[in-house]
Amino acid sequence: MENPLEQFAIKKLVPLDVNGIDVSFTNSSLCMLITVVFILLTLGWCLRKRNIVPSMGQAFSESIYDFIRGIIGETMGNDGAKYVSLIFALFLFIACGNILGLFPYSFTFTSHIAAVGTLSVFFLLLNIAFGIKRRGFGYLRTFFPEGLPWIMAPLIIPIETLSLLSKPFSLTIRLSVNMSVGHIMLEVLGTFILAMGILGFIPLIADMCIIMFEIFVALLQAYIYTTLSCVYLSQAISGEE
Amino acid sequence: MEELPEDIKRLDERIKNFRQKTNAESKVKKSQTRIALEGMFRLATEFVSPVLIALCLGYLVDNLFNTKPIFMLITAMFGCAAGVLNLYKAAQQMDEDINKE
Repeated sequence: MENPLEQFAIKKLVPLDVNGIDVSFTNSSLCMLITVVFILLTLGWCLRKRNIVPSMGQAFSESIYDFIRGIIGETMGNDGAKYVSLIFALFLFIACGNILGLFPYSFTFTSHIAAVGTLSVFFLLLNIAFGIKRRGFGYLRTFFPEGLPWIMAPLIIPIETLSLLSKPFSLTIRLSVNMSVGHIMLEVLGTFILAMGILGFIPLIADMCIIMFEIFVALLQAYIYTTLSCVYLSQAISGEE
Repeated sequence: MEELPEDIKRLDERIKNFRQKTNAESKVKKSQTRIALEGMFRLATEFVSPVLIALCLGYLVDNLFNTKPIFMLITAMFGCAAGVLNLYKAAQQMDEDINKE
């Protein structure tokens, strides 16, 4: 039986080494590149003719945009209007990465803690930068909320710091675990199709059902990741908890 | 830099409060399904992640000063507290979303 974890193996396509640091172009990098090119080409094609009465492609891309505006409206209110492009890019990158990873011989980079973790840490740093830009030194109130007695500081500051540091970690674990589990299940059931001979249609039907479920999970996880990123961004810029 | 007069400061404060209020009111109500889905995936990891991060930090500090397992135990307590705080914040936000007009 084939190892179901083999599908997550990183393979070097173009080995590169800069001052002893491995920066090789891998199958993960290739899939990220394909995702970005796919998004650019699809949106470019959909929006090639911009009319007041939209074509099907234009309506499709506008509906995604409206969906993102909806998420931002729910979590950040009017304050979020200037972050639409950032959140839109984030959602499309994760959603397309999840969906493209479902294709045979493809690679799901969103199942890798390193890839998603880097994105989440980058987003945390952006949150801190936006928070400081918006609230100045008031951002430090995140670590010690107003109204608390100073004697509580040694207790509250480490707790709030851990709470802040845990945000990218929880985003990463949620997305990568959900994506890897689905793919492992698909692979395990896939091996049963041949192994069970004439009864192989049973795991085949189960596999088809799981594929449908995985498409749903892929989009749902992109939605959850985006919504929570908006919630964290909203907390950083407004100071509301 | 010249100090701003008291009335200007008060006006600035009122403008800030008004902006905050209008922004809070501008948030659109979420559907019940979205709140449930978000909560389902959010709550478990919100509690577990600070505990794990705290344990890792404690382990690193213990390794550095050769004090196993003192810092790991201390940070685990802080991690649990941070986890509960995360859960409280998440539940509070869900409650706000549900009760939004």
